[in-house]
Order: sequence, then structure tokens, then C-alpha cells
Amino acid sequence: MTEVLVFLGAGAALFLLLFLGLRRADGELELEGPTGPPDPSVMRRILAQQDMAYIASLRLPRIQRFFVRERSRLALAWLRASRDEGRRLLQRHAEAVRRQRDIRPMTEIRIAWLFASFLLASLTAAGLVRLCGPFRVPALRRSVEHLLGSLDSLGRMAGAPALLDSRS
Amino acid sequence: MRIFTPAVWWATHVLLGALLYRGLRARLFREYPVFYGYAVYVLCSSLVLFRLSLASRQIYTFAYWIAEFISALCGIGIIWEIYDVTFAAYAGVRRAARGLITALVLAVTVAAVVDMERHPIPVLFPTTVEVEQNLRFIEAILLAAILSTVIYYRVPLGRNVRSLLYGYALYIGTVVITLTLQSFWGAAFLIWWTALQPFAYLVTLVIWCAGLWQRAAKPAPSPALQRDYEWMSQQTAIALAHLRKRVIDTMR
Repeated sequence: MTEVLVFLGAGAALFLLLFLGLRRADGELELEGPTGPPDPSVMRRILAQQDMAYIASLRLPRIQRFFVRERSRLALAWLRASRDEGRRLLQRHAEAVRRQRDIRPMTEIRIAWLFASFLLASLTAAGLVRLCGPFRVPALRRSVEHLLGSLDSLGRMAGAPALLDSRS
Repeated sequence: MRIFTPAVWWATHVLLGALLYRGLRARLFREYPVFYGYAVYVLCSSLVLFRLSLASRQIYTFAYWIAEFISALCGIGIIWEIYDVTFAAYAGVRRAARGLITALVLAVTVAAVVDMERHPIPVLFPTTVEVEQNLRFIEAILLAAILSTVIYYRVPLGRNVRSLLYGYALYIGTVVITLTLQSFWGAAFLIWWTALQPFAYLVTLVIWCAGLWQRAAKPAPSPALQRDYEWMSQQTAIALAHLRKRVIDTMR
């Protein structure tokens, strides 16, 4: 049964890569829009607890629900913009180094690892915003750091740089 | 099915003939000798098999699987040709693709050895279906490695090699899936297998004919980086690390 799944997985992977290759050829994977990472102060303002406290004090459930929904939408848009910036960085790197003769596999793996860990952090944050709402995300930050810490240990075994430094 | 199978058979051979004719006219034979050699082999073997099918069902079945096995071996040559042409101007990326292929083939070999250790009675004489299945699986891995590298590094592809790569990947993906389902479900899947595989080959031939109808100019390779590779990589790594830190910090 495992063999069947592996063979079917190989076929499915090939179709998925074909699909991605065709999208890239059509220019659908090209990223447009302003370059540069989104301002983190904007996200802090979106997730500001005092705004939520004020809305809660009004005791208007419909307004509160609308407020939380809009703030979720803004938080997800900010996270999406940061992911677009990450993808743009990776694309620029790939396009810049592809003519180089001295591409080093470990360096490329390190960059891919960094991108994957960034994507994981961003998607985890987006998932938390969707599931728990934007104002409970700071309370769940420790879980995200714990997850990244576990990845850190795995990464160090493979020679990748630390995911979390003491400042985060 | 009575109309479908002969219709697909005739359409396949008309397209093969057109592909070979255009290959001669556009002088693509010289650029892709392995691929056109394969096309000549498929056309000739198909005509021989047709003759054998009229003579004896048993001999035809035996000859069919031998022809399929040889075709799968030729497929490795086509993949090598695609790899060679795609990464001709990108030596570093070529090395990265080679590294990825080596890693994948090693992983498959280790998995196969572990599997052999587990099963006390080794399979000494696998069936022709299993041999072809394994060969096509290897081809799928090789194509996946090439496609991944092309997509990741955004290697520009000319029209000719793009149609070769995508067409063959479509065919191999279909063959791997249909052969696996055929070996799993047996007779229940047979009618689908006899329809799907030839139809996939027909679609592949359409892609090849469209892409190889004329010789297309190869895209000019992008200019080499003026800066040091290490410096560029370090900048990218630092930028990604900062981006990740920003995302985590905003959750405070």
C-alpha cells in the first residue's frame, strides 16, 4: 500500500509542478505592487488592545463583531503583503544567482530554509487570526515561538542558522 | 471504445508522422537527436506491433511489453537531452539540479533496500508491468527534479524545449498513475488503462507538434551577476530573517 501511495504521489507531484510551471510561464506568479516590507507599526495598530477595549465598552455586539471582522481582514492583508515581499526576495535572489557558476547547495538550502520558516511563521499567524481573532494572537505568540524553537533544533542539526535569536 | 481506440491509434500515428516531418524541415533533428530517434522508434515499433496483433495475440502481448520497456529506456535519454539543453547556459543551476537528482535517486535506492530487507522472500523476477512501473517512476523523479529547478530559479525556456519538457512530464505523470492503479485494481481498471494511456500520449503528441512545429529561438541567458554570490546570498538571508522577525514581533 505504501508503494502505491508513493507512486501515486510521484505522479501527482509531477502534475502539480506542471501546473506551477504553466502559471509561471503565463506570468501569474509575477509579483506586482510596491516593493519593501509592510510597516510593522501598522500591524501593531491593527492589533491594538485599547481599540478593542473601547469597542467592548460600548456594549454593542453587532458593532463589536463588525470591528473584529474588519481588523481580522486588515491583519490578514498585512500578513499577505509580508508573504508577497518574502516571495519577491526569493525570486530576486533566484534570478540574480542563476548565472553564477559557484552556486553552493548548502547556501541555497539555508536560504530556502529561512524562507520556509518565515512562511511558517506568517501562515501560523494568519491561521491564529482566522481561528481566534486578531486580539488573542499576542497571547498565542508563545506557541509560535515554541514551534519555531523546535524547528530551530532540527535546523541546527542540518547546519542551518538559528531561527530565533535571543531578541525575538 | 470500438471507435475511440482505433481513432486514437490513427490520430497518434498521423501526429507522429507530422512531428517527424516537421523535425526534418525545421532541422530540429540535429538539436534533439535523442528525442527524434525515440519518435522514429515509436513509429516503427508501433507498425510492427500492429502487424503482430493481426498474427497472434500472445506474440503481440509479449512484444508490446518489450517495446514499452525499450521506450521507457529511451525516455531516460530524452530526459537527459532536456536537462542538457535547459541548463546549457546555467552551469551553477545545472549543478543544483544534478544535486537534487542525486539526492532523490539515493532516497529511492535506500527506500528500495529497506523494503527488500523487510520482505523475507525477495522478488527475483518482477513482472514486466512492475519493471516498467519502476522505470517510469524513476523518470517521474528525474522530471520532477528538473521542473522544480526550472521553477525555483525561473530558468527561461525556449518554446521547443518547453513543449518537450511539459509534454513528456504530462505523459509520464499519467503513465505512473495509470500503471499504479492498474497494478492495484487489476482487471477492474483495465478498461480505463486501455483508454487513458493512449489518450494521454495523443495529448502529448499535440503538445510536441505545437511546440516543435518550427525552430524557436532560445531565450538569451540573463546577464551574470556583477556582485559576489556570497554577498548576494547573505543579503537575501538577512532580509528574510528580518522579515520573519517582523512577523513574530507584531504578535507581541
